[in-house]
Amino acid sequence: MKNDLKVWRAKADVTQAELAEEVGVSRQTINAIERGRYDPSLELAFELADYFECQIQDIFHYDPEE
Amino acid sequence: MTSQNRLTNHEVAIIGIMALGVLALTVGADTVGTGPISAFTATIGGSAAALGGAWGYRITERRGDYDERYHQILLRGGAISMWVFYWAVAVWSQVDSNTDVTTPVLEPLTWVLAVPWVAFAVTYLYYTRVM
Repeated sequence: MKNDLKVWRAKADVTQAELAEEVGVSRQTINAIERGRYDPSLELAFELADYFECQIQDIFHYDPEE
Repeated sequence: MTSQNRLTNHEVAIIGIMALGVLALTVGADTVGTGPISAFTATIGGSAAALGGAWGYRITERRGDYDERYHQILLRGGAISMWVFYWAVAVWSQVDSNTDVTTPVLEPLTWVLAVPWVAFAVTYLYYTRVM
């Protein structure tokens, strides 16, 4: 699964640590999501979408071919 | 621990139960006597430590304020260390029965008990880097 979390974070001008604090995970987890090393749970994906006031699919993109 | 880094009463109780369990299993069983009383003390201690750990896990799981990535890493570490421990016991029992190999300083079982901890640490370090 790919994501544009880094872009959304840059647009909102928040650091990984600030975003992590807002959604209740560690900075390392935000970093792992941005680098595509970790796919978040549905709950965390909703938390992130809520934070950026967008839809989950605006941030995360599922490609069945991958 | 809570988000304020303060232990709840349940968490203090779990730590106490596990500490007492390990003490009973080790020093307690060795000093209380020999034979059935020692075996009984060790059994109660081991059971207390195991149940304390399971209770602690359930509390952490139900609280739901943990970092989910680390929760997954810890679960993988637990599964892999259990898998490695199972086969380490199986291999050692064969080595022990069929060779004259001995272990230095500590009993063979004590060395085998260290295997899952090492496996857990290696797994944890690996997954914190790749996921």
